[in-house]
Amino acid sequence: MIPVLLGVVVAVFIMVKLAPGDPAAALLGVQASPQELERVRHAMGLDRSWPEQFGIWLAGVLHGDLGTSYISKKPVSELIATRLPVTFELAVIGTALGALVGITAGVISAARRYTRLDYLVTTLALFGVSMPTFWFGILLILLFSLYLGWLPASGFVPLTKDPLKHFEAVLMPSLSLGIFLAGSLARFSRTSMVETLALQYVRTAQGKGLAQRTVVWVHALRNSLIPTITVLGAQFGALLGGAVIVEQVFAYPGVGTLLLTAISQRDYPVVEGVVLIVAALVVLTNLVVDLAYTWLDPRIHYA
Amino acid sequence: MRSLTVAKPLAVPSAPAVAPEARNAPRWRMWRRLRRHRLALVGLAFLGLLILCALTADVISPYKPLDQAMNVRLKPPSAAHWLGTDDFGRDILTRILYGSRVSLQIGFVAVGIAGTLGIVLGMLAGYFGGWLDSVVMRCMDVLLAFPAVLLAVTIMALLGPSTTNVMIAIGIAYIPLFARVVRGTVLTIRPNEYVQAARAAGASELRMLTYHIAPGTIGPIIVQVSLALAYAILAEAALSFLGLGTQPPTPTWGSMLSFGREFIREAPWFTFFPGLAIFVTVLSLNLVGDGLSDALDPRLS
Repeated sequence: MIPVLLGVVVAVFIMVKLAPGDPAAALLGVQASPQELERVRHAMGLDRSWPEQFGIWLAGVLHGDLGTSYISKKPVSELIATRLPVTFELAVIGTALGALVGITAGVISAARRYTRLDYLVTTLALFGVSMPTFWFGILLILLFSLYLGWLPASGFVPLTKDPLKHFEAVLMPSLSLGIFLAGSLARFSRTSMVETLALQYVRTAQGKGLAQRTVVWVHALRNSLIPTITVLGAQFGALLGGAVIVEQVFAYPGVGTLLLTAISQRDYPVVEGVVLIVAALVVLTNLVVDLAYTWLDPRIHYA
Repeated sequence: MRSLTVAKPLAVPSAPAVAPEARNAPRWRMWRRLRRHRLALVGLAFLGLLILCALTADVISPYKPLDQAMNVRLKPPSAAHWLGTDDFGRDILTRILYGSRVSLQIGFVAVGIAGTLGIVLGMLAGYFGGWLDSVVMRCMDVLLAFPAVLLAVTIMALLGPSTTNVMIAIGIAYIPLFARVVRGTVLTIRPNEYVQAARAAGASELRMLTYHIAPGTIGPIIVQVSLALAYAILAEAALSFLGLGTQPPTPTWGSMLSFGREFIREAPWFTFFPGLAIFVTVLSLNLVGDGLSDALDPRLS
């Protein structure tokens, strides 16, 4: 995990260096005098060698200093800190919905293989993985906001202001985020469950005369979850990427909106900060997934 | 299911007398199995049709993609405009047909970039192992830490929006998709006796890789190509949707969908049909991908 994190930091530093323009000039604006530019360049360490600059930058990152926004002149870490919880909530609810619906559907479909229900689930799952998230979001708006008028088409309400309205606002974005995950988890958990149900120990459980429901949900589920959890972990990153788009559909003030505004204003420190934080979150998620294996399968140990 | 796979070779004696070994060559076997998947064929047929439409868009389109007609702004689907018109009175069907060019072109080139780099890296890593393997795979891990769409968005931000840059951005983002699969396949091929025999016979490293290792990786690569095409087309649409892709007035499915959102109340078809085009294309690619992976590994049906 540490080498990957280090790699992520190096990759983002390369992005910092590849970003067009002079950071000192961008920070000071066009009216800055050459002396002033020189002074700021020196203060930022831009007149040193690349390895030195990397060292300074890395030390900053480790202390939570991700640089200063060219536009708002605020610390990038502060900007991200106010937006991250919004996106994180979206991602967590989206993941929870996707995992719940996807795994349940996949398990049922495997237990009733080759029935009409199975065909229905596999078809819906295929639709789920083929659906562009932003289009699904728009379809949801068409149905629930414009035709039925049940939910607000866009916007965000803080939890502290009105919990009910907050929940209403969060529902459609997290549904659109979760649809792809639900589809891919249904497909994977079905395959995995089909394989598990063919194992000897499952036959033993059935031979003991246990109800099929107990065999599937108690005996087989835990073993069949291992490959599914791998997919879940891998998809969490994609889901965070998808949040960037979904936030645009629903005018949601998360890190995705922060990122896109920063891109349109060429506010590179913010762009790099967001990318770094999201990548770090993905790496952390993979660690959590690795730890989940040891709980699902006690035979797996990490020294 | 397993017993079926084992039983198959026994049926060979009843095969037709005409060149049985040619008919049983892996690619024929794969094609025969693929044919059994009707849905995969439906997907393949749709993709063929789409490619044809993209190639002949200027002939078959009822209108010109940039022709504006303010007297038919935001008109619903009709005999004159099958899928309706947009806010400039442009024909949506025409623009979707032209948009397929962008999607397919970017999809194919991006997958070409990702595939070429990913396959070469994966083969080298899997075949030579050791430090090369560690370095390549750690790089892939780092690349995978960035969500593909986010990585593509960031690369676009640094390079600036243009069609070529979209291809590069998506191409880079999906390198690990190929590198990991190819490496894994090479690792299963390498211990085979025929590979050892070729090495004992004194084959050079280049010959080993191209003649003895590479052919075995083709099946998994074909499956990855269909998957990667689906992802790439979704990613292209997402970038266009965010305004970071191919720039207007060139029609792209993603940008049409995005502009249509403004008129979602009075003209829902404006945003609906471009999205449907993306959905059906990706669905077809997924159907073909499913069919191909079944054909390669019938156990996992």
